Amino acid sequence: MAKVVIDPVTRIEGHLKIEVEVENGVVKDAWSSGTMYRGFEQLIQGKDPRDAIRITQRVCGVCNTIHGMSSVFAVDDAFGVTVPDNGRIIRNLIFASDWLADHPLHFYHLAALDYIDIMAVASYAGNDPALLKVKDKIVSLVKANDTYPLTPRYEPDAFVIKDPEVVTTAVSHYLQALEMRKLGHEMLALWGGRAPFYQNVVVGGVGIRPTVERIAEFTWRFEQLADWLENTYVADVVALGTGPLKPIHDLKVGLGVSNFLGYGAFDEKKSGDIKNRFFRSGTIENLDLKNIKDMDPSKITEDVKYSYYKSASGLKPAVGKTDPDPKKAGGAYSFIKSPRYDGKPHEGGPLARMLMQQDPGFMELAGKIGVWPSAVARHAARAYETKMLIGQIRVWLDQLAKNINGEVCDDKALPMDAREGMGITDAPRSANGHWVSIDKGKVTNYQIVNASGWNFGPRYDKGVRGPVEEAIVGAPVPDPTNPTNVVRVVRSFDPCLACSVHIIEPTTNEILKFKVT
Amino acid sequence: MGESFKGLSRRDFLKVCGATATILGLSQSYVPQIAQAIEGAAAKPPVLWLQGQNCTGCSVSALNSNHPSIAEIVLDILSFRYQPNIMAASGDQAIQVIKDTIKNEKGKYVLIWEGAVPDKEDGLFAAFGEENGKPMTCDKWVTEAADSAAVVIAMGTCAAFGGIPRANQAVTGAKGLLFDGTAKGGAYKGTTPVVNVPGCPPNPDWLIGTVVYYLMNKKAPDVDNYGRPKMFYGQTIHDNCERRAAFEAGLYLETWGDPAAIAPAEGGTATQNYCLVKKGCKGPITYSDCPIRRWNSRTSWPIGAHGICIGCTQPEFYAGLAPLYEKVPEVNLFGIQTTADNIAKVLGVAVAIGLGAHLVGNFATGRVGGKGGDK
Ligand code: SF4
Repeated sequence: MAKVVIDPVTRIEGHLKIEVEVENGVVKDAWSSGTMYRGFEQLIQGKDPRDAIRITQRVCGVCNTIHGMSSVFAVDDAFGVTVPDNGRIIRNLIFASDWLADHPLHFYHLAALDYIDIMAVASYAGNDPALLKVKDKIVSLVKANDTYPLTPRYEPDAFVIKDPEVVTTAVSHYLQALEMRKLGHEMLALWGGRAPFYQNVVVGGVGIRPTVERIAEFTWRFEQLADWLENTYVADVVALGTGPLKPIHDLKVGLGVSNFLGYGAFDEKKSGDIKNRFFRSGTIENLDLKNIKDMDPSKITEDVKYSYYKSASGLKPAVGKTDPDPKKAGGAYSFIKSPRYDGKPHEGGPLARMLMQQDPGFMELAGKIGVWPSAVARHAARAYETKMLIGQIRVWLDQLAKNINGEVCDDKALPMDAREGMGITDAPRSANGHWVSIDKGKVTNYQIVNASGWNFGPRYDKGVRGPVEEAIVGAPVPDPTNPTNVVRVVRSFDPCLACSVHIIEPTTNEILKFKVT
Repeated sequence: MGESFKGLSRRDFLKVCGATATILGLSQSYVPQIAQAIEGAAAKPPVLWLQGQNCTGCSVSALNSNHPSIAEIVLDILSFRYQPNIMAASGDQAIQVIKDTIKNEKGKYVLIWEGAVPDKEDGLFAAFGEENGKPMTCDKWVTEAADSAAVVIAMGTCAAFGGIPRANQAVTGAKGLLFDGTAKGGAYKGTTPVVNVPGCPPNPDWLIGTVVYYLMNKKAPDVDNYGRPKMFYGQTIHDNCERRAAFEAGLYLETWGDPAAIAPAEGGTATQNYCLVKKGCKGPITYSDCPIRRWNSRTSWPIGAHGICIGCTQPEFYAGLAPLYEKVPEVNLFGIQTTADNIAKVLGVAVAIGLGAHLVGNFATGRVGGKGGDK
């Protein structure tokens, strides 16, 4: 039995360590743990609840739109505001712009290097001028004997694409994607002021009013990006998923727990109403796709038996306690808690959303790839939902244009009485929730059950592995010094780890002692 | 220098240099000098980009660099040995690259550090990589990596001053590299020069401009008393804010989205966009060129999009500036209540030139509130 430790896992957000046991070339067991910790819930204690909307965005620089949205939904709920339609739609546009920047970034810049042998570019023999330029660039790096940061890397395994034409095209798209994703952030900035970290989404709505000019400035960028996303990003994922990457899917690399959960995303009626969202909320158990259930937030709890907390296990987040015990005996190994829905681990993210959405186009694509969860299936779902979102952005722009003078904010004063609020919504990578309690105008409790916690949490109380741990088990690792399949599966979940390790005891000043082993 | 430089055509290369001159606020006549600085190096200058208690927002912001683009920066101008969000290598391979660079490029590489550095509990609150089965903590990394670097860039407010994690310092011990908030005494005790490029996140131009300045001049740019390059952080937001006239005229927005406080071009009915000071704007006490440089290919900036400045480039951020949505105490609605001393403290001696000129002027003419508070 070989023990393989991958620390740090790169091309993700955050500090992640993955440990696996390999027997006969296959992963037998896996552990995921975060190695960095800040303490957002504590530092926001006693602060003005409106600050939480700005500060909790900084839980994660990648998922910042989602944390800002979850937070503002929670604080909206506590303040009792009614967000006007235009405020809701502008929030959707801010949020959606980030998804359009985030998904291609994930595919090309974080994940793709696991699937292509970039050095195959040197053997490109075609005469496409754009591809020759890519070839020249890579060759010049090789000649200068400086190929960082493209090397070092794991030795390309049997699944890696080596066809020079395909690889060179992929690398040219990698470079294009660096430029195109910026358009998503420019679109976001047009409504939000800057990206990352928009500034004008406030309790009750937004500070900015729509104008025809702003819609136009947004639209030309959006249409340019949409065209590239559909014809390059989505096309690449489909071509690779149904072609060269199908063998990895057929091996069921990255199957997971087969339970899925989504809070839904993009409000279509009342802001924060999880029953009326463009991406629906719901749950699926045991891959029973015919039986999609409503998602009931009261069934969300967090297990801590295998996490460094001594507080009771299985608490609901609204009354969540976070009492750390870094030296906890009995096998604890992670600072991430284990969120459960109805007592069971659930995977969140694009695949969960698309399995619930069951859009005919996606089901057709899934049919071509093979209808079971996998690393490749997650990429396909991510690409497909990008396409769906593009269509809906046009609808929102139209709604905004037709109601250009509508209000944008229900600006209410800071309440002084005791209130509670819940803000939950899907993030590009999973389901994200904030719970706030306020009194006398100050935050008295704040709990975040974050997106990557759903996927990267450790074992549950009954010893059942978390979704990512489970997904890694069974992955072929013929050579323990090149555990490429492990990182493929990990990255298919698009981990965002800063947000998963930020939990802290809110009431004592006890100094935490912990060791990441 | 032949026809091509590190894979770039001469024309593309000069374009990169021209764009870089623009970031630095230099005229295009500096292009040859920049070209020479970048070409002059026998090999691309090595960079280690390490992360402590960070959120990766600084890295994401750097991806938004336009001229030069991030692809040009990463593949053509600099040699990114370690950048955890883009590099191919993982695990031990990745850690080995850091160790090799520290050893083989001693005194030659640029260290870009993102995130605060916690020192409580033996630094275990931020670690990456293992040595003999033990986590390698960031307080050790920062010393090792900075000591052998040519120059260190503390990227972002967390790395510069401690930032948001510092609001939980009692637990983790989070500090900046040289500073602990406004006080000297951060996590890095060595002697390698450290330039602070704060912001939550920093504008990509501030980072690229600082790096290129260093490559051109082989020394860190002129900085203020908080270690920030004066070329980017030399004036307050308030000094250059497009709503300054409204501030002076006493026109303040009271309700978000109120058409009566928003200019017609922005969907309102007022004569101009009203000042956001009553909503808590920290522009009067925040130093950066956001109003001029703007964000995301200059599409917008926080105040331009009808949000407040939250003071994210300041050493006091976040805890020292809370509550964000209440008026800053330094401001009374008749002007800025400050003293020439304060201005000098922030900017350093040579200061008052750009930044303070307007304020000092107001102060001298009595338009700015003095000791008496609201008049
Ligand atoms: S207080 Fe803020 S909005 Fe008003 S003029 Fe100053 S920087 Fe601009």
